[in-house]
Amino acid sequence: MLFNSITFFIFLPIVFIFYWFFFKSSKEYQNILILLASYVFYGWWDYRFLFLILLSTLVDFFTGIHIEKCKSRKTRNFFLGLSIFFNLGVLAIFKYYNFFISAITSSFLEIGLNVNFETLNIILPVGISFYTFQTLSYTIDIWKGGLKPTRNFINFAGFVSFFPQLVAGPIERASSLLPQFEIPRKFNSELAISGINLMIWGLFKKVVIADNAAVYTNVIFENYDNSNSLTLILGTVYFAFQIYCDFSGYSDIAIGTGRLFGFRLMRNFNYPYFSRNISEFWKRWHISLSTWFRDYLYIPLGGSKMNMIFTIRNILIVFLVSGLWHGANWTFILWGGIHAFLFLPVFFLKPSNSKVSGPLVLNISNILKICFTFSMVCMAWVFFRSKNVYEAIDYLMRIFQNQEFKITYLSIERYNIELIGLILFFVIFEWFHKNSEHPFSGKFRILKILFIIFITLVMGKFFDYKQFIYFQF
Amino acid sequence: MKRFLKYLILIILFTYGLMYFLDLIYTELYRNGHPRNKLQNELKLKDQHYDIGFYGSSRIERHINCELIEKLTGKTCVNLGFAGANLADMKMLAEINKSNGVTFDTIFFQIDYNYNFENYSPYFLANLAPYLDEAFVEHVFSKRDEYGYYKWIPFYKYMRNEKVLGVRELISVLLQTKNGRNTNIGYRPLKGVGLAVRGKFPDSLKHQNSKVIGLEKLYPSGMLYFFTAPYCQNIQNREISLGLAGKIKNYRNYHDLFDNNAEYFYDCGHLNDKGAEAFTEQLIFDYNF
Repeated sequence: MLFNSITFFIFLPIVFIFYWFFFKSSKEYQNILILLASYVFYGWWDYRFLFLILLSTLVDFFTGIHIEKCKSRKTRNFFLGLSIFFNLGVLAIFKYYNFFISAITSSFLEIGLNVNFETLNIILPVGISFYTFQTLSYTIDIWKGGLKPTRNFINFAGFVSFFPQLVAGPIERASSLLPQFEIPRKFNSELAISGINLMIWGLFKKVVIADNAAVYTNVIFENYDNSNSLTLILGTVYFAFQIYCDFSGYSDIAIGTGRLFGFRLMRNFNYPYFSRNISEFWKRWHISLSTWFRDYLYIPLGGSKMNMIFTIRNILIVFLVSGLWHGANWTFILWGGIHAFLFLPVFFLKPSNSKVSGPLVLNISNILKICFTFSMVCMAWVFFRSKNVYEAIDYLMRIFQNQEFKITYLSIERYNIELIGLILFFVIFEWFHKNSEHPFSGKFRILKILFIIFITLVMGKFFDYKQFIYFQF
Repeated sequence: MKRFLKYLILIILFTYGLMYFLDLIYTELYRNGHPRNKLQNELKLKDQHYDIGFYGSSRIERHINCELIEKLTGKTCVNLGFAGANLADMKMLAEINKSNGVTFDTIFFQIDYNYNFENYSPYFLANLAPYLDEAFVEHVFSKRDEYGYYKWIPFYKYMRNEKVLGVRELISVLLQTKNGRNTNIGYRPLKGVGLAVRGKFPDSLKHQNSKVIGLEKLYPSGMLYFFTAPYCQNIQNREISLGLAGKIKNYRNYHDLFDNNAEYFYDCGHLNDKGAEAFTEQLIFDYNF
């Protein structure tokens, strides 16, 4: 089920009414309802993969209990290993099997051996990378001693499959979300209203900015070999806004939906394109994933506590794995690698810049830094968006080789001008609200909401690009 | 909860009210504003008589030079073809024209592999949406899945057909700007030479097409003609169109007319201006206009 579909607009009020009007006195019934609703939500896409979620839930529920129960370190390690093996195994089969098989086959071919491994004809279950990472964090936290396992299967299953964030995050930590299932929830109007506002803002980002940008991004990337430098640059900028608004729009709707049911989900984006360097970008972009990798990969590898070589190794591993997390393609791995190389100098030259700090004021220095960071991010997005590495390199080479900056494309495609206008409006709107989580605060709050609803209705694409990009990850 | 519900109701009421208001404005402008495409123009034709009329897809719009016919024969002519038109669209346009008092002495329909399609084209359906409250349009939509949404959710039809009837198009209607499409009822020539193939003929033709049967009932046999316009040789299965002769009365097949004239083609399915002129002259000769 998609957030931007009529089905969801019918589904959500039904669940809401049952949740707050029929089951409001019993958190147990509310949790059962959340669980059922989550399975319906997911099953609407493909009910066959519900068994995977259920299996993942069962494995981690019981391994979690056993990790805590067992006194011997060896047994605890065994159960943690079992959880990791199962979750990563599922990911490996459904997401990476074909990629690794192709990589192995071509490696053998390089050394003159012609081997033929069978690839699998399987569909990638929606959201698999999100919920497996969520359940992994649960067992790892118990193993580390930072979390007590729950004995309530319904609560745990609700935590794993919580429908607002099931298919594209934010990737919640058990220590933050699970306790919310265990306490009675009282309706909080303020929270619910902020939820509705976030949903409106998220929908605007998705159907107005992302889906309009998608039209041109697709055309430009499909025909990049016939485009001039200006068009290719525009293509990268459009894609940058497409992916940002698509994904952060989804996150906003997810967080907003969670709030309607009394749940507080973590913030996933914090105006990433206003970052002044790559390090700051990663503190503002897909925060739930970057902090996951920090806590469960970078720090266990030793973080920056060892010598420089090991620190570089750790940073490289984190970024490459982060790239691979997005998809089984060399383009994603290279995207991660590029970010690592952009990140390393900033990390070593400005070790104190470990927080998103300092007010983001409008001055020449900040504008230059923001523009430079944004252009680096856009350059890396070319790899993310292209079908293969060759195409990405060719795309970037053409920007520099073609050297033609005629506005032919702009004048032919009349809508293109409007898209640039929309993006500029969006950037300015975000800039003036960068200190709050969404723009519907402060003076003229209601007017701003009504204006955004108006723009969404008249400029939104509700039927052409419904799918969210991050569903495929 | 009360505060939240009040807020939610305010948002819903505003959204619904806005959709209702937008629906009124869009409908009014698309129905009565400056026509921006050929179809909108055609839907506005009233009480006119033409000696010759041509219905079809881009293979009429791009092929039939009515000005040339008028110049050579002195007869009035109208080219009612528009890109992507299916037989269902043509039949409905013919019915609308008939009910609007638009009459012809002779009518031609261009027919090819579209014989296999009974459905309306998406572009035609999108353009019909503003006329939903009219019986002939409601009849078309009443059998479709989106009918309920179109009827009961204001502005839904414009959101769904945003590409054709969106705000950008509306602004152009308001500003009365011209676009690349033909706003005149007539011929739109293609410039250039080429034989690029877009699509192919199906392996077989349907037994019959209800729209063709409908057209044969709509107009008397003496004034209704069908033909297949030329294709280049590169298109796959084009000989299948020969089978149309056994299925349709008053039919002529020109699929191979310009096999030795590659210079007449813009692409494999469309003639350029030079080819269109030659083809129009051929029709004048064959039908003795």
